[in-house]
Amino acid sequence: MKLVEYRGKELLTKSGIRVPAGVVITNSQELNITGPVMLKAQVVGGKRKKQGLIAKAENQEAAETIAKEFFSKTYNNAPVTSILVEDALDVQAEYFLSVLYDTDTRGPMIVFSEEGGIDIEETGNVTKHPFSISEDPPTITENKELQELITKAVDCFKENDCIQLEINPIIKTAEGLYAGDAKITIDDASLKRHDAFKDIQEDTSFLTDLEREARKIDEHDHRGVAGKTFVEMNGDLAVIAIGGGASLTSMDAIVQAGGKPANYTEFSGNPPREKVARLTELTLSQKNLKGCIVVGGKANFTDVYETLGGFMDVIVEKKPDYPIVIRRAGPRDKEAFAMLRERADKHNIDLTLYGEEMPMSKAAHIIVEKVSGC
Amino acid sequence: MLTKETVVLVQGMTGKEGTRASELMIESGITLSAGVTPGKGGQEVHGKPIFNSVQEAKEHDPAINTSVLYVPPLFVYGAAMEAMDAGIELLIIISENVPVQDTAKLIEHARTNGKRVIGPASIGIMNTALGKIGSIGFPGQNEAYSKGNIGIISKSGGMSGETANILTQAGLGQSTVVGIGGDMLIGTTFTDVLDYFEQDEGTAAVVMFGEFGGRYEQHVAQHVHEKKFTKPVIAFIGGQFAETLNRSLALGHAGAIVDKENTANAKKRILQDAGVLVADYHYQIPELVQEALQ
Repeated sequence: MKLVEYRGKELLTKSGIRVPAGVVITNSQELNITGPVMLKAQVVGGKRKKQGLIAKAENQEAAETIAKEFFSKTYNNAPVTSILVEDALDVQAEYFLSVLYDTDTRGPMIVFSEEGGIDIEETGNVTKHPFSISEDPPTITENKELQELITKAVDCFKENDCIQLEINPIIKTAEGLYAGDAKITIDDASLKRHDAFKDIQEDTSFLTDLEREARKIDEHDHRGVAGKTFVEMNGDLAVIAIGGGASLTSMDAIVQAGGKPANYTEFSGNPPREKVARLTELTLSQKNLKGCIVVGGKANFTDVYETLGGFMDVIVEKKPDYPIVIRRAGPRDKEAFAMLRERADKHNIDLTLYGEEMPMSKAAHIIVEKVSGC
Repeated sequence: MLTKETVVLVQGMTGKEGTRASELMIESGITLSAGVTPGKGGQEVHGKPIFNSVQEAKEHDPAINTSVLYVPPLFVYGAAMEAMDAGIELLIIISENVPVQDTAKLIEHARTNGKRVIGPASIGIMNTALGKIGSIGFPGQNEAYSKGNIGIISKSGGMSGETANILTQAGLGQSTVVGIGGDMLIGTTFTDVLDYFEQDEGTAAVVMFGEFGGRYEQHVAQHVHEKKFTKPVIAFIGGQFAETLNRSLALGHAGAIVDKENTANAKKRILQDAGVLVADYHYQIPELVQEALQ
């Protein structure tokens, strides 16, 4: 879960890191300022400054103009709905700090730079400091106050199960150090053990409506996973993949064969029929579809009859006239294929079925050929 | 990896997944000695005794040296630490959704104490001559697998089966198959398993299924380049399409996060430069293996 800046700053504050005094507003009438402020749109993602969603205002009138402008803007196609208004600081110096996990050392790492600011990641002028997860963080700077802040940030990182905690910039003023920003991602796998995050609604404004609907499928039913990740891609081939690795392998094969996927999505584990049906419904609600593929390997435990039955429930209702290819094997597959064949024939559905004799990536080629042929 | 001396304990054996998988493990020929579920000591599953703790299981059978974990994700850390502290040498974590911080701690503890952790989110490991541990398939239980001299290492559980399947169809059987899991941090990486395969006389070539995100595949290139692994490696790297998405998302597996650097294409290039045979399409893997073995 990615936190918006002000939520991230709440966590930093709890860990003893100072942030500029500020309030969050949801419309420009709520503004009431006495001195220069920074206005920052509260959206999840980078490059806010470059997109004109961070600005400084010297007085009330200027702040209102900027706030109105921000609220009329969109970020990742979603409207800006809240702005963090903070006291503007008298900046003497800026630093960059990021705490994350590194696959080279397979442990946590601090990335630090004496130069903060928006271009730091491009210039790459940073030092990397892997550290032991069970020990105190290493000494990175001789500046005592800065080192203290880094130590607190690492504590915050561990305590809240962050997978990324970035402060860019850390701002040095005459009064000391402040976290000028907070880019924090909490490990989804850990959310259940943190009461503090129970009431935080994840900002999903970066998702399309369809992508958000797909995420809801798992909300009240924890059997299997369906639609947790759904990405609209504006092509004409609907894709429902089964399993993470299979989803990558088949999407690659589709694209390499010249196909244009309408979406990326997958289900895995052993989801009930209804969840697969809902995912199918959403996937097939996309516009301008010319084909559909359901592709997975040979399941060990997943009930192929039930899961593909859920898919077919939607197909016989919608009766699409485009070709459909299914490639799947596993428990009850023979029974499943007989059921699919019978229902497809009865409703005149153009359905081609393949089992494990057909390599997954070849099945992806076949649907691309069928789509380009129609 | 697996040897004739491997004696297995199942943590979480009384759960649905644990019970189901245990039956197939026993059938595969592996020595499964006992299970552990706190509070369920005294029960039996498939004729094997269940204990409340790993320590008790070890007292019952001191030969136990390996544990496979089917426990809820937030209990994995505690269960794995308990196993290591009770003297278990090899842990295979099947559970998915283990918090990264817990994995980091387990990796560090294993490193300091000379233990090996495979996973989390591993499908399991198997040796066609000795048996299997975990939820992975096995010859006779799943037609995808057959006996032979090809090693497989896969981040994806499902694709370890699919990879074995196309190899088997081409008459290329497998020696050992290892599911390393697709999490951001994993206890055993491609190169760790390559070190095993380098020594294993029953393995002539290795097929690896990698994905975008992280740097474990780049480490293979380095390993091959430095001649630490000298047998042929055939690689497939999934997720090229993700580069066009322009979004920072995890696709399919927790470690498969879109970033600018560690793309599927970048990994393929680096592996190719090191002399690894890279399949553009997954179904080309058997041809490349045959080419390499000639």
